[in-house]
Amino acid sequence: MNAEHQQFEELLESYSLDLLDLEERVFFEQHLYECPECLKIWQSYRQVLSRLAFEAPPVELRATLKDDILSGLGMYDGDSSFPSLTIDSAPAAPVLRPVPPEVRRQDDVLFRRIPLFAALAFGLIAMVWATSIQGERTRLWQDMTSANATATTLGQRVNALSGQVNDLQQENAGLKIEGGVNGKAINFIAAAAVLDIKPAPASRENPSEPSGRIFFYPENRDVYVMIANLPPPPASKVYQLWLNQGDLNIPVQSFATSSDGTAMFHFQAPDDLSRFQKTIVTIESDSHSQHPSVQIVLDGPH
Amino acid sequence: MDEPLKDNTLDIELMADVAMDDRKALSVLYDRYSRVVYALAFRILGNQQQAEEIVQETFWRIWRSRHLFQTQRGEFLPWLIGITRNLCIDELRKRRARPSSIDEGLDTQETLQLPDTSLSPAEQAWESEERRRVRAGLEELPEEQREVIELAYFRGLSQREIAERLQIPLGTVKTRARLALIKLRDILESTG
Ligand SMILES: [Zn+2]
Repeated sequence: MNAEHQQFEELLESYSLDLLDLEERVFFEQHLYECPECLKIWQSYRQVLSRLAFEAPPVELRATLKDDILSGLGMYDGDSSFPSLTIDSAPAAPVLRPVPPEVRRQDDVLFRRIPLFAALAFGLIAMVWATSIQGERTRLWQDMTSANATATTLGQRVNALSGQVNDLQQENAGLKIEGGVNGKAINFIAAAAVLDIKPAPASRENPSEPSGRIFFYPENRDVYVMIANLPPPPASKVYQLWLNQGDLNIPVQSFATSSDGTAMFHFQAPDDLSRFQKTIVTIESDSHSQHPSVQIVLDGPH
Repeated sequence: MDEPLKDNTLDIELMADVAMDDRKALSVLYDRYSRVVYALAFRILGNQQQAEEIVQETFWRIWRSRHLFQTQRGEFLPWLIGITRNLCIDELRKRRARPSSIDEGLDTQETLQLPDTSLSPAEQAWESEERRRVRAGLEELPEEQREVIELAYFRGLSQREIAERLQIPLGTVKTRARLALIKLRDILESTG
């Protein structure tokens, strides 16, 4: 770790100032999240850079702006935040709530906790989605884009999941699960970007064509991917998702779809998704490909 | 001296209330920080309307992420300013990608320094003191280092773009950035 740390330490300032090229940044971040020393220095630079905001000369701010902003909050309110699942007649459905800050351990693992909260909610959505009949799935799929996705009769499925949820709770001090008859909703924050990826042109008109949807949360660069109608990969092959920017293709995640053609997974993007031209899914021979094959099954512009 | 804006504990408490859907707490955070957010956005974008949109989007993002904040970041101000600056830089990069509108809506950089009625006298004093400290800190940097900070932080240029503009090697950009940030941290941490 120490030799590696020294090699990366020199990049800390350039990284903090957002100067690095994409490749360097991806490379550096892999180290940053594993190195408490670098993380600590980076946080100190973040603090310094935030104070640079005070260098800007004061400017008169429109007095009515505050009301405009506060009255717009309703779009993102409580249970209507995307994609919230409202569970009717759900006995003892678990509710995920953030633990008060004082309970949390302040250590370097903190970066990995947020996705878990979303991932649990994501898991629930995914489970519903994967086990629904086709019509239901299509409807839910459409609802995903609206602010409020509602699914009924989820109680049993939620209960089935609660065992898993409890296991996860053991590992994650950042979550608290509250059961009880009043527990009805699991919130997901609104995605800043929802992107669709489509099959390569040849098969685009097929009604049961494969498709994917990507939910991006820029605050921590969390990305959730849902894939549908994509048959399981051929024997000894995997699907691989890439972020593309010109000649650069960053391998993000390999995955297989289940027998119903679906797959869901989460990853943390190396950068704002808008900085990539598109997302690509290819078929690869193994999960360690560093360059995409020519066989593109899905792609989509950002 | 009273240093209300620097009180991270208070900010974290307010964010905990925001996480419980408390709009009043968000309103308090807005009162504390909207001016600096707006000033930064105007400094970077030079356009009042776009700067207002950045303020709006910044506080909406805080609201949308309210359940995630505490697990994510220990400190509020770096998080807030990080969101603001990212939005501004993304806007700048979009502008650069649209050559026809390069000068789009650049307002005059003359600023109106009006007395701010929504700040308490102590808050006003703290804010102008912080402004003085940060400017003095930047003044202490050698010109060539300050230039790199200006181009990187306020104009969102990549290291390549900075190297091209200043006609210096990439390695020199990195070195200047490194020296600048180390020095700036030393100066500001001793005054802040
Ligand atoms: Zn390190």
